[in-house]
Amino acid sequence: MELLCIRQWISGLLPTVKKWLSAWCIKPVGGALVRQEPEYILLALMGSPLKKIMLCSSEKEIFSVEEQVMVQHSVIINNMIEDGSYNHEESKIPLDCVDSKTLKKVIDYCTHHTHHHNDNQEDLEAWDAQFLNVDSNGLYDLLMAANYLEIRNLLDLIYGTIKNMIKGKKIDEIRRIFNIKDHGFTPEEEEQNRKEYPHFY
Amino acid sequence: MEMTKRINYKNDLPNELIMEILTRLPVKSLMRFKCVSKLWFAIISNDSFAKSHFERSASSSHRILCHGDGELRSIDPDLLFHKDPHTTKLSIPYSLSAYVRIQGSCRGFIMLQEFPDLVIWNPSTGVNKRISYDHLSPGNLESGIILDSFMFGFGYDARRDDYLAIIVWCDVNGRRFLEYFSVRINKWERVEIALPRPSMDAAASLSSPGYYLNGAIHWDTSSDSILVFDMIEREFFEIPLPEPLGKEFMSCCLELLGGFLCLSVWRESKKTEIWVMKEYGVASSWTVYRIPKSNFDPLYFTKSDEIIGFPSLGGLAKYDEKGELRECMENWNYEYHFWMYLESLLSLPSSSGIAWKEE
Repeated sequence: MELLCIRQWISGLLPTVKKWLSAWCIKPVGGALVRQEPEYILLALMGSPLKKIMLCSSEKEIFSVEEQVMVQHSVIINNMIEDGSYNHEESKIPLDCVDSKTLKKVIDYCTHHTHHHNDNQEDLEAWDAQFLNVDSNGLYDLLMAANYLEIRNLLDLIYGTIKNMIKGKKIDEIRRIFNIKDHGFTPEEEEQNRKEYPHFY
Repeated sequence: MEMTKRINYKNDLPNELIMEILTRLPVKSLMRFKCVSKLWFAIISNDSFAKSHFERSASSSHRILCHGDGELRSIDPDLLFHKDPHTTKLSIPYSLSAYVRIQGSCRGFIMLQEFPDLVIWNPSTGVNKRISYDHLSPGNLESGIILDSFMFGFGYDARRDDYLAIIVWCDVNGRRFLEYFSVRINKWERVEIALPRPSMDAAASLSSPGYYLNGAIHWDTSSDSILVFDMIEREFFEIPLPEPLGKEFMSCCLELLGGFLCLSVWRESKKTEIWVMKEYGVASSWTVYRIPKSNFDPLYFTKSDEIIGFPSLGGLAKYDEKGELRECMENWNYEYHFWMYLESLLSLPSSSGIAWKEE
């Protein structure tokens, strides 16, 4: 059946099923409360191609991803789609501060969490732990990207991981982890601290 | 030794992200991390950071203050049954003696009392303030005061962002006064008051500490209700005891366990009833826990609805809501005094806007 016919058929059905679907349409996934158009849910159910959007990395690489996935996770992208500043036919969303490697990871996270959000807690947590097993540079890039795109659950995950990395560590170790080269204390202040709290260092 | 990977290599993390990380750490770590850098020191010492950190973590930062043998210790209630509960020794401020009494706690502050001083103290940060109530000593007033009639309390006024130290006292003519010290105004004020019910007058002469909860201070009186002082309205109210409790009991003590008002009831039977007000102010929310031990002294109410306390024959025990024993330990056989408090980075407001940091 052609897409146009499907849409007409759905519009005919809508008055009766809209009420039933409206309960389904509110999906609080990833902290972004999002309303989906009933037509698209039905389309998805019938296996028609889902709406895709284009994201463009800082290296000018284009990534195509399901609109639903990004809209559920990223407050920024959700706002762009809702206020109509994104035109499906021609535009792509430029993300100049996210490189390709990181953008791919972010899309990976959002896609997995949308498609697997009914999985049990343990499986999701295991996947998350594996996901964050990145090299040292990657964690920073992921954090900055998640912050920019306002992806609440990814941010909470990264902050939780960082918290566990630094809890109970000594001062010198913290400075190394955060690459703090100049701590800003005067030599006298630093000496005073080390004398008063030697077990911190 | 495996080195923890670095978090960043390009640029420093923006301040807002550092704050997001720090806001998730416990108070103890934060006090240490003040030494990491001048920036971290500034963030952690900041009043608004302390406030948002407290609001975020209040429900999970309970600690038990243990007072005995001339020492003060801080214990993590989740580690009570561990072999090594990681108790932290605290130094009593102003070298108050072993006779010091704990008269209230609120938002991370504890009020210690030893005539003629009251000390408001945050054990997590060391910040403290001494207030003298010397003007209430018998020699200083025209009409004699009844020293035994003192009721102390300490609480937070959310509307004025102020802390009040309170003494309710009685004179020989039976007139009752509320003496309160506002930390912001930094002086004592006195107001004559009447308790909500005359029957409370006789009972309220028993010296009882005030328990701060939900913006009000609660005192135990041996009458049919709990005496309540609302910090914002600055008025007395009462919360009636639950009706199903009846009147046939040997004793009924008010406690504050893990953020809930509780009544510890001993009757003739060999059981102790712990009545917990699960929803503050809702009479129908009183729930009974029947502990199969007489004279059970409750200490803490866990997140999984279990009660930890001291059976009279010694040791420490944990019971669930059905009254079944979950865990117990033998070596808690001493006469210590325990008090619940919260960990916070908060400091006291001052009338000049600078936080008090007397040593």
